[in-house]
Amino acid sequence: MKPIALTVSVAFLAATAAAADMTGKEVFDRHCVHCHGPGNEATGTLQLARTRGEDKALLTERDDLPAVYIQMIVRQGLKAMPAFVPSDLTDAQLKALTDYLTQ
Amino acid sequence: MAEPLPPGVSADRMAETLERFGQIVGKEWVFTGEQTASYHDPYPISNDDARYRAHAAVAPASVEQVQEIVKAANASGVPLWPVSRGKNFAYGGAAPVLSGSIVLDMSRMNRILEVNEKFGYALVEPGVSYFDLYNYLQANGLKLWLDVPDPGWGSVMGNALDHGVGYTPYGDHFMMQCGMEVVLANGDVVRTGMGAMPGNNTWQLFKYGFGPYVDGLFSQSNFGIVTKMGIWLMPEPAGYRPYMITFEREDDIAEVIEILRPLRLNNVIQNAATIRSLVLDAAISSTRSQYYSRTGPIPDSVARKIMADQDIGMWNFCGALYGPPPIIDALWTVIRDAFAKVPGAKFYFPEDRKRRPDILIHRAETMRGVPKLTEFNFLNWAGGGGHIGFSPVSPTTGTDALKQYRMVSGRVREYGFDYMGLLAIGFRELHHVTVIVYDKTNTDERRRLDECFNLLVKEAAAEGYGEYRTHIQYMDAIAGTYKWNDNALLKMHQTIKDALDPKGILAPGKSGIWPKHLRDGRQA
Repeated sequence: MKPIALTVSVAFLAATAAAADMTGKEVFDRHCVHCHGPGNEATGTLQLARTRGEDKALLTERDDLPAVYIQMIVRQGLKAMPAFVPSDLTDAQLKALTDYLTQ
Repeated sequence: MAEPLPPGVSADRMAETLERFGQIVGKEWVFTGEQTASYHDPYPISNDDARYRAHAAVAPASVEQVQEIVKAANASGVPLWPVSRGKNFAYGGAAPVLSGSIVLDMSRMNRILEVNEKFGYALVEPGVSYFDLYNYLQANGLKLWLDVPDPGWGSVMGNALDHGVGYTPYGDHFMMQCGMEVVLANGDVVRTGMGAMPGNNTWQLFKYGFGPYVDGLFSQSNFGIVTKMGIWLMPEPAGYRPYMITFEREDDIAEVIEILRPLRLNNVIQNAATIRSLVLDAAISSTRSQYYSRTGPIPDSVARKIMADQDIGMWNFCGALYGPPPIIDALWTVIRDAFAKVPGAKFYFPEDRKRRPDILIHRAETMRGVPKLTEFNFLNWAGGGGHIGFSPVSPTTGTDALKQYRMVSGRVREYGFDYMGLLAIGFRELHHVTVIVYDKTNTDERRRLDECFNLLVKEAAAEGYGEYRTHIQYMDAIAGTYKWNDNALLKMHQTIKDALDPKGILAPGKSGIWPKHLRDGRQA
C-alpha cells in the first residue's frame, strides 16, 4: 500500500464487522434493524403491522417466533424479504440472532 | 430438488472441485445442498425452477484464494459466478445465468483498505457495503459523503461495476470509479491505470494511466474478477438544500424535461436528480389495498385521491443543491422560476412536509448519501414481494420522455400492473427505470410479467431505446438488441472472452457473453 500521511488517509482498515463473536443484538443491528427496527420507514415493521397487527410489528418485542422459523426465513427469505447468505451472516451469528430474538 | 450440474461437468468432477475449493478456503466456506437456497434469485420470474440455480457457493477471504479458486476451476471446467455481495436484487441477486455454476461469493473480502479525506476517495474490497463505508466515515468524523443507491446493503464495488446510479452530484458510480485490481481467468492479478506502475501514488487519482483504458472491460462483464476498486467520495459541502417540485398531469413530463435539460447540462441542477411517478412514491408509505381493492391498474380517480392524501403529484421531481448558501440561493431562484412555468407546479422543502413517512424527507437523506432500505417499502405495494426493473435509456427531451412513458406505462397496465417509474437524470440522457412489482408466488403473474418484459424489450429496441442494465433472465435478449453491423459489438466481446477466458469459467452468459463451448444456438 502506498504511504500517505495519516492526517489524510487511513490505510488497511479493519475488516467490517466480520467478527464471528458478534452478539445477537449486534447481528440484529447490522443485518435486520434497517427493515425490522422501530420508526416509520422500516419496511418489515410496517408490513408486519399491516398484515399481523401492531402488536406483532416489532420482532424484538415478539415472543411467538420459534428459533427454527427465524432461521428458515433468514436463509430462504419470505415474500419481499430476501435470504441472507451464510458467508455474510454465519450460522454462528444466526444462532446468536435467534437467541436474542427468542430470549 | 437436487442442485443442478453445469453442462459437461460430471458429479464426480464437481465433487472433486468442491473438495479442492474446501482446501483453499476452508470447508466451512463452501456451501452446498440446502445452504445454496440463500443464493437463489429472491424474486424469480421464470416458472422453471431448474433455471438460474447455483450448484454451490464458495467464499474466499483473500486475493490469493481467489487466484487458487480460478486455477482450480480452469483445471476442472467448473464455471464460477462472481458476486460482490449478491444484493443486486431486482436483477437476479446472487443467482447465476447458467444453472450449475458455483457462486464465487466475495462477501468475506470486506476490508475498507483506505479512505483519503484530502483527495476524497476510498479503496475497497468487493464485500464492503454502503452501510459499512458510511458507518466508517461517520465513526471517524471524515468530511466525505457517499453516493448511495436506494438499498444501502449492496456492495459499493458491485453497484459501480453494474453501472448503478445514486442521487448526489457523484450519482454515476462508474464515472466515479478510479483504479482496479483484477484477477484474470488464468489466475494472474492486474492493476489498472496508475496502479500498474510500481511505486506510483496516483492509482485512485487518475483513471487512465498509459495506453488503453481497460477498466470498463470489467464492468457488466465476465472478463475478470475485480478484487479492489477505488471510488471517489464527495467532500462535505458547505451547505445542502433538498427540494421537491410536484406536477399534476401525466403529460407534464414533456415540458418538465424540456425545462430540465439546459439546467442539468449547465449544472444548475447539480445532482443526479429523479422524477418519480405517483404510485412509486405513494408505495413508500402506503399500499395498494388502502386505496383500491380490485385487480388491474388503479384508475385515474384513485390516482387523484392518492395525490390529495399524500400531497404529491403525478410526477415528483426530487433534487438538491450543494455548496455555500449564497450559491444555493442563486441556483434555487433559477430552478424555481424555470419550473414555475408549468401550470400547477408546487415547490417544497423538507420543513413543508408534515406527513410521515414522506417522500421528500426520505429523499433528503439519500441525496446526501445516507444509506437506507426505505425504498423496499414499494415491494409491499401489491403484497406479493417481487420486483424487476425495466431500464431503457433515452435522450433528455420532452418528446422522448413522453413517448417512453406512454409506451412503457401502456404495456405495463395492459398486463395488469401499476406503472411505477422514475426518470434518473444524467447530463444528457434519462434512465427510465420502471419497477414492475408482482406477486412472486403467483405463477400466472410471473408468466404475464415475462411476456410483458420481453415485449417491452422488443418494442423499446424498435424505437431505438436500449436498456442499461437487466435481470439475469433477459441478458441474452437485451444483448441481442445491441446488434448494429451484424452484432459487431457482441462479436468483439466474444473475441475478448475467448482470449482472456478460453475455458469459459467466468460467469457464462453475463451480459449475453457466452464462452465458445456454450455459444451454439445463441445469437451472433
